[in-house]
Amino acid sequence: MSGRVDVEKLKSKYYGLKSAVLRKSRHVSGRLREKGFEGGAILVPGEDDDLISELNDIYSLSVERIRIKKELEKAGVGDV
Amino acid sequence: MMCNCYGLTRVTDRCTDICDSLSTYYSMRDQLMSQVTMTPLNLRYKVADVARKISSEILTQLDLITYNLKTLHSKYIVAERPGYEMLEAHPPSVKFSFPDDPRLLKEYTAGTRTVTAPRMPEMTPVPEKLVVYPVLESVMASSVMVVSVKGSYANPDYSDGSNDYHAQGYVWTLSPQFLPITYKYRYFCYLTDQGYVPVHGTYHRFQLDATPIETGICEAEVKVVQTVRKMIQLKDQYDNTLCYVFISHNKASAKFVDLEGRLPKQGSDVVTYHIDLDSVTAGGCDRVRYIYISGITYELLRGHNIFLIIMRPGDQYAFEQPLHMMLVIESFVAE
Repeated sequence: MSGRVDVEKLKSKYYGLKSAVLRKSRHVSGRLREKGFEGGAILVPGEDDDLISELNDIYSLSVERIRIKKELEKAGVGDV
Repeated sequence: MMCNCYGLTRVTDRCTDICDSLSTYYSMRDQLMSQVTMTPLNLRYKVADVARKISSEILTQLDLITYNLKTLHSKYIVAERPGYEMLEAHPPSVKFSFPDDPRLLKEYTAGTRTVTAPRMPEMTPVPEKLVVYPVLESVMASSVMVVSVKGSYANPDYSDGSNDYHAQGYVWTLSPQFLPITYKYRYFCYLTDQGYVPVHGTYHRFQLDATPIETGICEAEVKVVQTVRKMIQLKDQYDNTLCYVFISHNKASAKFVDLEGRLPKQGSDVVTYHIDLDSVTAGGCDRVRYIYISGITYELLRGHNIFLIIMRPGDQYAFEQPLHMMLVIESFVAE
């Protein structure tokens, strides 16, 4: 029973992270569009610190999501 | 060659100028060809010499312009059209040697331990779209390309061949205040007399000084002192994100053991590429198949999310192979 609960917790965390990553990356894309960048950008430390910070957050969230996905796979949940 | 300035946000004008010149010369060449074709056969020899000279000049100019355009594209971010010539100059040469890939199993179990996998024609379709994300030159000079194969992202009801998916990418450096970062990498390994060797990776005399965590799983530390990160979002035609590709290009140091036992354990500066694939939809990253780094195209094994490429400066050029490439089970920051 507790195993089941853990899986549900992991799933919930997984989807929470996914939503956070998408929300943050949409926000970053919007900010860059405001700055006149389309398609991509090389961000300059000092000028784009706020965006760099958000991208680092996205990276950390994604890495955590990949980790949780692996745990879910180990637990036999492969269809997340 | 079609001209495409998409993604070259900061150098749009320069790119447009080059594109204009390119189209001018192409149209001149077309005009010349039609002139020659329209000349009656018995008079064609009279215009042939002139045509050859003009044609040669045009071709020289075209080469120059194409070179400028490629330089521009390789220096900046670009999402390219199908069949871009840059790829033809660097056809995929698969370098991963994975024993669980049935095509490679025979070679692996035969004990050849070669690092260069045989060319596998069925696995090297010409990738039709390239996304180029160069490293900031001032930080580390190298070009890294994620190559994904165009395919099933498109809505089958409507596709004009150009909108199957598109990419958005960012490159940034990590501030010194967040560095150094010591990463721990866990990977499948097996024990030899002199040390642990990764199962999913290339063989090299010098191996990471690994600690066995449990049977068949090793852990090794890599201390990163400088890093350039890239995030690439692959999106479908409706702007839904399908996959995030993160590439960390790091200057780092790690401890190595000599499998021949002649040299003691030693620390070494290394360059690492840490690749994370994060699928937002099921199979969203399946089309990210290759990564191109400084002249070598690496195939990423499907269905896996974390890869690590480690090379010591000079090794890649000396041996035409990286020091290590490995499939990582797990990576995390050391406490």
